[in-house]
Amino acid sequence: MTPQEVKAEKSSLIQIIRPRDEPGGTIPLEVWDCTNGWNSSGFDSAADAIGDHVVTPFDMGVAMVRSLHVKLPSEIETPNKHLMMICIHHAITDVWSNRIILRDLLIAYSAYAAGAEEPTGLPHLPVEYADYAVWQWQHLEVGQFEQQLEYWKEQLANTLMTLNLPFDRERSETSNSYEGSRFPVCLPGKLVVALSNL
Amino acid sequence: MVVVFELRKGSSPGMACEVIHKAVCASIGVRPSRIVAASEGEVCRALNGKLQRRATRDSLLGDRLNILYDQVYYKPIEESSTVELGIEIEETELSLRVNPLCIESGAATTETPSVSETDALKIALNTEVRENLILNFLTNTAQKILRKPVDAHTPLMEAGFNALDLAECVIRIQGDLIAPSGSQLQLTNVDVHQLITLHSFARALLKSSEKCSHSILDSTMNIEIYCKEDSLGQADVLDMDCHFPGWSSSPEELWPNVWAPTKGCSGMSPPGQLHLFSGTASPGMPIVPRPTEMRLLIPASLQQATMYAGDHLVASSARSNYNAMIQFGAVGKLDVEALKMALAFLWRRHQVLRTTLILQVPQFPGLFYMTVTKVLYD
Repeated sequence: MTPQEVKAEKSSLIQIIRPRDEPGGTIPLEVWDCTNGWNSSGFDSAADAIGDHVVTPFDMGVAMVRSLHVKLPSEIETPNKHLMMICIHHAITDVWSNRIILRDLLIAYSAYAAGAEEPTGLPHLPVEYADYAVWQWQHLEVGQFEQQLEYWKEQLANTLMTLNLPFDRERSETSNSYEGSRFPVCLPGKLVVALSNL
Repeated sequence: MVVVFELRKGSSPGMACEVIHKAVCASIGVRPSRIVAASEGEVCRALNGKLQRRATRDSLLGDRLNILYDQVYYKPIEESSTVELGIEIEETELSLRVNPLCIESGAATTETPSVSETDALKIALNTEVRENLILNFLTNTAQKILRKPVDAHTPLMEAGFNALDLAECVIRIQGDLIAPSGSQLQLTNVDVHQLITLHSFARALLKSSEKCSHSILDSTMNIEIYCKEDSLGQADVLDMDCHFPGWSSSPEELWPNVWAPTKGCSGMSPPGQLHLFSGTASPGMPIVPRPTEMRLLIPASLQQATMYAGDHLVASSARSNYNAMIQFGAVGKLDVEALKMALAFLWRRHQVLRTTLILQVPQFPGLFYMTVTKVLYD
């Protein structure tokens, strides 16, 4: 899709959730067998495959998740080595969700590998991300966005005050380069308490 | 200790002095005897911006400083010994960092009369000798705890004291030191950051024993460190600019100004609920399962729209900046069938993994996808 198309007037983005019981519905799995050494498939091509798996954009209208299983070259001590990768678009996951997905995957795998019908003991999910999206949209519907936008526009309309924090040297009046740096420091516990009580 | 600072035009010098006084007391346990507000540019700096304490001290003592405000808290006590404080307070990311205090003292602890430790405070000797006695006692105690000699003028933290060591030290002092009245010395709220060196600790003990020479020691006494100075006073520079937005001259003023705007300072508290985009349910509208007519066809969230736009507008369409990875290694026999079943299970369990995003004609007016793209174009 080109930017021009995206700019088309009055388009809106919707999410369509594929039905739970869709036949054959699953996370696509690609398998790379390099058990006999990188040479059989070529290390470069294997590395390329992994790289592609990581960076290739999704066709978001079709799926936003895929997985790759690489059987790594055997070694004498460790004959069975595997690399498992699940690639998910950020629009449907984040760091915290990734942790949950990994947990669920491992629980499910253990259950199925042990011969169970269905994994058990996982929490019920009464609310999911789509519910949040609807909730957010309902807020927008009642005009909260405009209200907030107006407020902040007004607040930030005029020239912003200079924030004169106690810097270690004079603020330059002319050249603001926006170059910055981080200096992590350890604060005494008492000071931290005092700061949070401010 | 004398603090010199530069005062920005329009700031209240009295308030600034108060803040500095409090800050210095709180950070290093030393009360400045005098705080001087100089006009801008008066504090000497090296070319690289580093403060020059000695030069500033000299210009203060030599009357070459353009003083706007001079607050004297107490007169330095005449004493033959010189205590020089090297204090540096650096401002980094709003945090006060205090360099380990170094107290260099000319007060020699040359002779220590051989008196039993427990008698130390009972003996009516002149101040200096008593101080040395207490110091001697403390040095011995500290050495017992750390199992190595502790220099009287080395900061306790640098000497290897931790909070536990200090607690032990205090317990030993309480057990061994007897206040003049014969009652036990109570030390509470002892802070390793405040009791800087054994030397200053000794002074604090002496001070408190003097204070209470006629009565039982206050059972909840706070140890304060008073620094005696030479008659000239010691100029030291606290590099702190007490000018805050809204012309507040202190942090205390700043917060009320921010939350309830007054004179020329705009308040920043938005009307209504702040957490619209935070994903946290507001009290009035909790996140609940969406209505059935929206089971499968749902507006994208603003965050999703942003990422969708980002993914389609970046220069290179061959790479996505929004691909998140879950990856792990496994060693051993992998049950491939179980893995496939687990992936299908995940797909059924989590709606997000079955989600697709599609750009459509407006189905949900009020959505701001266009706003997002316009911002990116402009």
